[in-house]
Amino acid sequence: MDAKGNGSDAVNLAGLDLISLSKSYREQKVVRDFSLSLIKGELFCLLGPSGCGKTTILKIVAGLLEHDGGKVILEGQDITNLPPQKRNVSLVFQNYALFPNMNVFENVAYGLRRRRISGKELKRQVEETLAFVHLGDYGNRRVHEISGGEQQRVALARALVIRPRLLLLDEPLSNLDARLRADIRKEIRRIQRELGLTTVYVTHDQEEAMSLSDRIGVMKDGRLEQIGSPQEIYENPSTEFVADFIGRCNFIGGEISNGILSLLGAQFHIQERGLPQGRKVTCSIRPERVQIKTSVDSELKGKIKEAIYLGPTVRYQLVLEGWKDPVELMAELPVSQAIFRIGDNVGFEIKPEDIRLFPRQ
Amino acid sequence: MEVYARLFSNPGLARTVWASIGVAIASSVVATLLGLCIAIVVFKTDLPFRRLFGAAAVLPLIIPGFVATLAFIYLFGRNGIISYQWLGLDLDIYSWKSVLSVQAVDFTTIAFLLISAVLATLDSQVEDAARNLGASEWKVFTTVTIPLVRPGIIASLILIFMRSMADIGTPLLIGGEFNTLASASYTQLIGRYDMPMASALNTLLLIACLLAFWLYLRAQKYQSAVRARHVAERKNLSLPAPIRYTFWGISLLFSIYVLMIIISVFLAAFTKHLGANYALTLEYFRMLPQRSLNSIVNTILFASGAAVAMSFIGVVLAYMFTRIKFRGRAVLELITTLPFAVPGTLIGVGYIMAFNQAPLLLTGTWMIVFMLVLVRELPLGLRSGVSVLDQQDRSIDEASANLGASRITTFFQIILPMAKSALLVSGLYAFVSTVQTVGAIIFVITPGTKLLSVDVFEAIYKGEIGVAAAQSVTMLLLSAIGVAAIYLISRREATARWMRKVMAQTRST
Repeated sequence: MDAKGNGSDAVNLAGLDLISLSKSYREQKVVRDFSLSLIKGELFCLLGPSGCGKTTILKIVAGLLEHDGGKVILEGQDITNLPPQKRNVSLVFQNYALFPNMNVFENVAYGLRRRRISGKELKRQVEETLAFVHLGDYGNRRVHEISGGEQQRVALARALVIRPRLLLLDEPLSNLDARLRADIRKEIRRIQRELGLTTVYVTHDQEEAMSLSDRIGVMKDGRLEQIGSPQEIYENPSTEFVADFIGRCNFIGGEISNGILSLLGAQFHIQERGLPQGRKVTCSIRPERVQIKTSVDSELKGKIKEAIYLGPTVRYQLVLEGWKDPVELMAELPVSQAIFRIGDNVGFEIKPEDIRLFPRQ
Repeated sequence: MEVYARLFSNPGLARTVWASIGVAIASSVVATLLGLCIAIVVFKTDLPFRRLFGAAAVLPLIIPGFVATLAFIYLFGRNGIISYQWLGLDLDIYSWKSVLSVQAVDFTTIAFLLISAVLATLDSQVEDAARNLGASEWKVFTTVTIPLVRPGIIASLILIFMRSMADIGTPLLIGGEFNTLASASYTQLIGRYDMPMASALNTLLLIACLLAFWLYLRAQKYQSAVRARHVAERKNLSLPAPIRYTFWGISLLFSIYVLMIIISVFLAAFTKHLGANYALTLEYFRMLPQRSLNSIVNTILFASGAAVAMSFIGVVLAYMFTRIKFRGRAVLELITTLPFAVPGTLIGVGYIMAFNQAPLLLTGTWMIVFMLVLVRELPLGLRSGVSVLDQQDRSIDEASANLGASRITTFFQIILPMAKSALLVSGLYAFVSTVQTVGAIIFVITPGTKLLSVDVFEAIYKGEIGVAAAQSVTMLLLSAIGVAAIYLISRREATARWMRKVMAQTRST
């Protein structure tokens, strides 16, 4: 009984499982041995620079692109060989791909008609969905007469009305201006939560990914570099690439011997990390974790070269002299503590636990 | 092989080969320059009458080539309205120069359509970028606009070359001593019953056309890379005044000439004897029913049938070629585009030979004529279908599949409605060009399946100018009715919108 119960629980929780997907175009491998598991109702962001294979994965999941190997399992069902029209997986296209020969109502009704829904039921569902995305009166409009943000919401309504088992969004905000982006982002999150939709969201914008997702998968060259919550990814990037791609980072060379890290002439105890001894490493330090001090008698010293006002914070560029090549360091301070001026000589401090170490390439 | 020896040892025929190629090159260059000139005025300036120029440039579409020839004779012939009546010249117009002039005007439409298609989708932001970097308007024109339009220019040069090579009517009617490969093969076959020589000439013609077609296919490959994906913003060029007005003047002359062609044909049809007796008469039209009723009915049936069948098959094939991967696709694609390259005369002779035997005994039936027409027009339907589907964003098909539509549903719900404008245009074009075809048909025609175009051709050949003119006017009207009918039948909102868009494009902003 127990085993059975657990089993069905597992099925209930299963959203989407991708098992070692791969895809090449001619010689070039776009997706390599890509595996991923989503729980039901989760919003997962695939984040990566353009050309890393994000969209390819979406299209494989939607069945719109033939792949070379691997499986797509949706809620426990293997849909790898199912034609796209049988999958009940909705994709919101980057350029919306609205049907130009139909008005807003017909665009939204399209998927329902394919499911043989008609008459009053069709009308009710379309109108309900349009109201849900705040486009109640837009049914008769032509799709090229409405604004980009409205087109985006029509695309969303069209995807939602068929009650998909999985929602796929391909850079849905990239064609909108910044203000609208924030609004629609919130809207997407609201809808996704209300409907409990398992969602894969593809973007190259790290801020978008951070503010939206339950979990983020950072991609590079067709592979996942790291999976984690936004906080995990930011605080504990597992590779140099992730650290660099998410937020800003200082990268400085250091050396480890006997559990001591030598960095910029200072010593840090990092024994507990269990890193290989006697090796050159790259250290990453977030700018907001660099503490600047007025007194110049600390171990680390530098001169303020540049100060950039960012609103809530001020970003300083420090130059450390006395090295073969002058080393520069970014530090970000809340405005209330940002009392320094260009040319000031200052001391600064870095806590050992704020340093991430990566093997030097 | 010995027939080729015979061909090249006969100085007259040997000269034909080179003369044919020379005239084809000349007429493709002249027509392309004319087309370019008018397209620039229509799409890139705000000069007066540019809308009319645009209309005049596409008008030859409904004027069959040999009707233009007829008009040329009226205007510049020995008794011509302009040459003799007005200027008092006694010209012998039957030479290669006349063939060149008639062809150049006739083919300008092709050049105009091809070049303006590129001009209309050209993204003016690129021109703005050049301006922003300090280029003068003239520099923008020569370093940005022209290079971007180059694919259209190249396609136009090659296609017109092929059309000119394959043109049989013009040299027969107005070439005099001058012969092209196509017309020479006709006289060898029909006049001297020298089948081997006709075949040899046709083979040379085919080689030239296939070579040109190969070049065309190669040029096409580079074309798609240049075109803007989105709907581009169009802006005018303010070219230096002398250049602008030269272009404008050329466009004006061209438009006047096209207008004169039509007026002179009407004059010839409705007056007793053009140039001598301008008394109005309906005599020639009264002769029509008994002379050509059969042909008129056939023409209407064939043209509408070809229009419907061709545009539908064209889009279906285009959908298969652009969206579905299947084995042998490349081969099928080549086979369906090839009739485009193969000159009509050759197809005609080929049809006689192919369908003269037992299982396919079609020679002398209407089926052979209809099939011929269909095969001739198919590449055009296919091309226009492909060009629309190629420009269409794939993600729209994908969206349809994603929402649960099968390929067939997607085709009928999305592809067909979106390709409607292309369907309309290619259907219209098929109708009009079926009304006008002579080249291939002239070989397979029998008294039972006569077409109007062949009647006109024969009437001109026999020198019955009045009858030919009356028949031509009927053809012109048929073409015009065809255009109007297709427009009315499919006059739904979307089509109207498309028409308005086309008009707006001609109007320019």
